[in-house]
Amino acid sequence: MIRVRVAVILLCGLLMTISACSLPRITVLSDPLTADEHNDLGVSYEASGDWDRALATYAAAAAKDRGWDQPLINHGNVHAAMGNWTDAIASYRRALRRNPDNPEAMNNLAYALLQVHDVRQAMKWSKRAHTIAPENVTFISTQALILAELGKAGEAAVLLEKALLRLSPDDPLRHPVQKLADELSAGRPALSQ
Amino acid sequence: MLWQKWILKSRLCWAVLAVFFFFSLVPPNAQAFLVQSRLSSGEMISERADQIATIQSALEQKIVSQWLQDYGLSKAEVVAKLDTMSDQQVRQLAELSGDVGGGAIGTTISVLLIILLVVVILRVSDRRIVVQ
Repeated sequence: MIRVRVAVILLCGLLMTISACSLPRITVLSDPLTADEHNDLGVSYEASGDWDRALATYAAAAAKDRGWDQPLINHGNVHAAMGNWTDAIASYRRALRRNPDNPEAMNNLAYALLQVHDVRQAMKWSKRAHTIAPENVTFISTQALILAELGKAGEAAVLLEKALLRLSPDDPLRHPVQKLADELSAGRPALSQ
Repeated sequence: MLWQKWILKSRLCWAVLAVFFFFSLVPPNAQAFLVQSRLSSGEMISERADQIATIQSALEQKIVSQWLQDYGLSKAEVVAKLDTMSDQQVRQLAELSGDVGGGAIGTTISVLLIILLVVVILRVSDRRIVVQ
């Protein structure tokens, strides 16, 4: 009986303490952005180098539309830019679970796998991307890079030549592809980083 | 101790610094072979680089506008308030989106505190919850 009284006193004390303070106002803030808009906001943060904010915004986009793969590819790209290759791989794999036929996710996964020296898996994903979009210069270049890592300099050089023929002089990819081709022709080991 | 002296030699330090300086001048090539991030429209970052700031500003304004309405401001008041705010202020407010409410951690702590309070009251009153 005494314990019940103590409990009642405690509860009353708590209520009095709460009532003595000004009660905080509870406001439920709603999220006005759609998944598309979260993704676009993430792109803008990524472009301005605000990577932490970009990661959070891409995650929000991916959570809001659980069937959409693009925010996860973008999420992986931010991790890649930060040098977090393991996290980038995880993001690209999640994107591929949502859309198993996305060659861009495959290519980026292949490149990220190459960075962690999983060359076999990298080649597997790169080949898949290249099969889906054989004309894509980025995919061709990634495959050449992987071939170079595997020591198949001849095959890599042929692919790079093919890629260079399709790249316009002002394409930003032209410089790294040309650099890789030069390294291969000079007999130097290709560097993926 | 010889090796320590050798490592701390100023000539060696300068040589290492010079080598690192030249390496730092080489632009990082990490993302060259990655497909860039895309907007919801399918365009890449580089294709809309000139409009990225506009997109960001519009979306952040949308977030802040919604929040001000959630706080009880009318649409007219929101417009008036937003007019007085600089882009930087709007951005700072929009950036709070991830922090308000403490997120998952805040929710977990609140739930744990409530459970703790219930347990303490039950213990003090010598009551038990029996699930049958």
